[in-house]
Amino acid sequence: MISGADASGSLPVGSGSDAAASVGTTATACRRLGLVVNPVAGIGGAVGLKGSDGVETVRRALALGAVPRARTRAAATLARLAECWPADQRPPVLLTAPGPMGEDSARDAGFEPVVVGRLPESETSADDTRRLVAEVAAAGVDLLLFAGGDGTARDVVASLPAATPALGIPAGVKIQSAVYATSPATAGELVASFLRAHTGRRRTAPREVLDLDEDAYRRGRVAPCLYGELLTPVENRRLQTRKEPSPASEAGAAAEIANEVARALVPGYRYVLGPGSTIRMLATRLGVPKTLVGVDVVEIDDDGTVRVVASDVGARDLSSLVAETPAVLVVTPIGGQGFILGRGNQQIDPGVVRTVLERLGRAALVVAATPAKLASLRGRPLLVDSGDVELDAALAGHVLVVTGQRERTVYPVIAA
Amino acid sequence: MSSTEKAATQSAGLPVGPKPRPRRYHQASWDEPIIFELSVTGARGVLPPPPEPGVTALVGDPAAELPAGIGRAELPALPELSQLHVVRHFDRLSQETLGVDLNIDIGQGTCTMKYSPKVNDQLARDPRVADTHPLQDPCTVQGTLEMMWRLERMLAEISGMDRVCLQPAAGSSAIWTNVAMIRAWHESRGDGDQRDEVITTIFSHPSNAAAAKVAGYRVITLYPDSDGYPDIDALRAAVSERTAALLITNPEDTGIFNPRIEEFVGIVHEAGGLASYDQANANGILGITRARDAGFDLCHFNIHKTFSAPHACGGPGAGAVAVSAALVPFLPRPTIERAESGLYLDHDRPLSIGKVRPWYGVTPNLVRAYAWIMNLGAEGLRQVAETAVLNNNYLLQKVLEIRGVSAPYAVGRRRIEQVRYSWEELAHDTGVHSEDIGVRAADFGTHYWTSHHPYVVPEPMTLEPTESYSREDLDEYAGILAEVAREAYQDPNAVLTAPHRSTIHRTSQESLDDPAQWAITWRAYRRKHLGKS
Repeated sequence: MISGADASGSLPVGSGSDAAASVGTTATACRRLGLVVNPVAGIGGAVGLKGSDGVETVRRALALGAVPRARTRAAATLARLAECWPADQRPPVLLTAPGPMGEDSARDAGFEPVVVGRLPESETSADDTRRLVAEVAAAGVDLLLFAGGDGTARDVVASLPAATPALGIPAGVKIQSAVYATSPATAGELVASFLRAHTGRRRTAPREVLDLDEDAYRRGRVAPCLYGELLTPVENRRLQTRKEPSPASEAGAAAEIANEVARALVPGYRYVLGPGSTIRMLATRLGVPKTLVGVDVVEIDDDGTVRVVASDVGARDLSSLVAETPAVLVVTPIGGQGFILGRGNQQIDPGVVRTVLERLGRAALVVAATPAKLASLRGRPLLVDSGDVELDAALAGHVLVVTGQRERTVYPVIAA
Repeated sequence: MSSTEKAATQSAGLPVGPKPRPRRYHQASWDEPIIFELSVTGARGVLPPPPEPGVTALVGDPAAELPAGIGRAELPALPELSQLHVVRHFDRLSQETLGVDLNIDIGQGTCTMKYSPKVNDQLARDPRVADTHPLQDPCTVQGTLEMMWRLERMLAEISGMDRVCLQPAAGSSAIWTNVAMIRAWHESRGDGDQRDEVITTIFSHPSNAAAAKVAGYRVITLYPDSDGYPDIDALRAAVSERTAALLITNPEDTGIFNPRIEEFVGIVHEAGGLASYDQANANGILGITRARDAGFDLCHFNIHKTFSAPHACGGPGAGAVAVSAALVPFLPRPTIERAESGLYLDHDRPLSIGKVRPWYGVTPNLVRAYAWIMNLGAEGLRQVAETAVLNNNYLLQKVLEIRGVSAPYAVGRRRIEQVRYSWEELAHDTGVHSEDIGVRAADFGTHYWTSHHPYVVPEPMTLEPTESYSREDLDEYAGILAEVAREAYQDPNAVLTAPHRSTIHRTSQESLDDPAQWAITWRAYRRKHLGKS
């Protein structure tokens, strides 16, 4: 999905295009860049704590001799931005959170920032990140830069107005979210080209914010959840790094999948739509609203009208919905781990899966993923962890993944 | 100027210093317009003289003799230029590009960029080939038909198949021809509607999936197993009463030969499907393995890859399909048949899928391939394959000595005729991606291709050295890669900001994904970008 003036627009796009348009109208000749740094991001990584969420973890990390690195990484981004900025153009106005949450990095890089908001009395926490992101954004920025990891991205998605583009400087332990630049320097280049571009020519694309449950992760369980999307700048001057598919080709692939699944819908069945942007594209194709991170249930009438039966349902409601009428589950792997059941869509509990499989067999589980998403698994199998060992074993083997119009990929599935 | 270049320039104090390695290529820049933009109304390359009075007196106005239907009402929208301007235009463009006759062109992996011997061009330009017309009576082109008839038999021998057709325009056209024959075969047995699925693999040429999809089939793609071989369990899960065929390349684009290929064919046959062998990667197996011996029912060759005809910048190439006896009735028509009176074209083939191309194949390229095979003989063909494999494994050894590169799958094993490498480690260490390295290589007079999409092998680079290149060529090419990798580690910006010696910097690929922007003809460019009809 691309937003912006030159979007290919083969399908109606969601909130993204409105968002970019509104940004385009507010910006003036003077560029305004926001910066919020999570000062303790990544502090747990070097000392083996697998993350830095929570004040206790940060204290332990510091006790173990960890050195914060977010400040220098954010400063590196700003230094690169300054290098890329033409000498004859007014530099961007930098609005930062105070002290270690942005101001220090800005001064390290030689910027004179406008400081927004106040620091807390004691150690900073996720609450401060959320509060200061909102305050910096409210001061009016073309783009919010933030330094941190997946936890920080979660805080940003929770508090940043959806219309404001954002970009992450990788400084955390876990970086699963696609909202981060590949390095601090790349972030600086990307921001420079984004801010320098005429507002109508700035391109953004919604990217997933994922995070693991750190407590579970420390116990060895990988449980990524989808927390939402941020509008992230898309490079359009330099060569697109095609490791990441271009937004246009990825949107095209998702649109193909949406067409393919939509054509196969039949009246008399309920369709349980799992979380994820690929499935949301299907809902867009069907003309119904879809929660990004929730599970929604739709039906199709004899005349082809699609109705939402239930939105953002929990496991209990879902059980009764699929017990009443034969149902088909439509899911997509979440994030880079390849879970199709049991992560990010726990509402689809073992009882629900058993009920639909008993009625319709394996056809009741439709797995959809773009070819690039499957390739990003690097050959690792898809995973199921429904919470029911027998069910997981029964689902293991090969699954026919819908990858496009009249396209399937046979892909292995194992119990996690 | 890099430090290496400075050192080379300052060396020895000789009036002409030794040439630096790697060489410092610089692309020519002519700012050459599109030929349509050079058009001058009324300019002509050739002015044919009017008919001589004697001729006119005898037959009247020759143009009046033309059938009414073949005259154009309006002049075609072609550029109007003199001969000199046409020659200059194309010479300038040729200086701005790279190609097999100019650089070490082994970076175009899977494309089999081998040298096209110039003597074969002379044969293709012979008036007995170049000046014949597709609609001439077959009795006047017996020599051309004889050449094609013999070439068919040679390719049948090379593949082990029973019959060959040279009509397809190139590789994808040949695969589509095979898919059409597969459908006709199933239809003749009454289960054409039921068999609506075609199976292929992710490392087979994407043309297989594309051709099957264009022909209306549902395409099922198999991922490799952990060793990089096509996953036989995935194949077992994929086959059913809906299976029409397996379309598979072997060796795949990783350069890995599937040792269980006969089992693959057996599983598909058991399910009632046919097996079609994409031989685009045949350069390493000529004279060594044969499609029919592995049980395949159909196969195809890219004449412009394996058999040395030029690729000609995307066309015209030439394709050939080969089939087992059971599929002969479905071959495109006409076929070339031999009677006592000579060779003739047989149009009376009721089960044929019809024509897939006007007349009978890309004749000049078929002449080149015929001459190439005749020059080599059976032993020579095998030597081609062995040399291509040797070159590839020599290069593999050299490339793997470079920091940051690997050859995923079948680690420690040799490959057939190409390798899909990965710069993942270098990208992780330096932030320099495979695309960046390929672009920087252009500053040294070469380039490479990454991979089809999606990138199953991360940060890919696909190299296929064929039999044409010398050991010195391979050393030079590996030296360029080593130099760029060294730069990536020591001065990544030098690579990230490349090319430095090309006339156009990097272009956005976004337009290639956007139907509203791409323009592959002048007419499309005018319509989409100039707003003119």
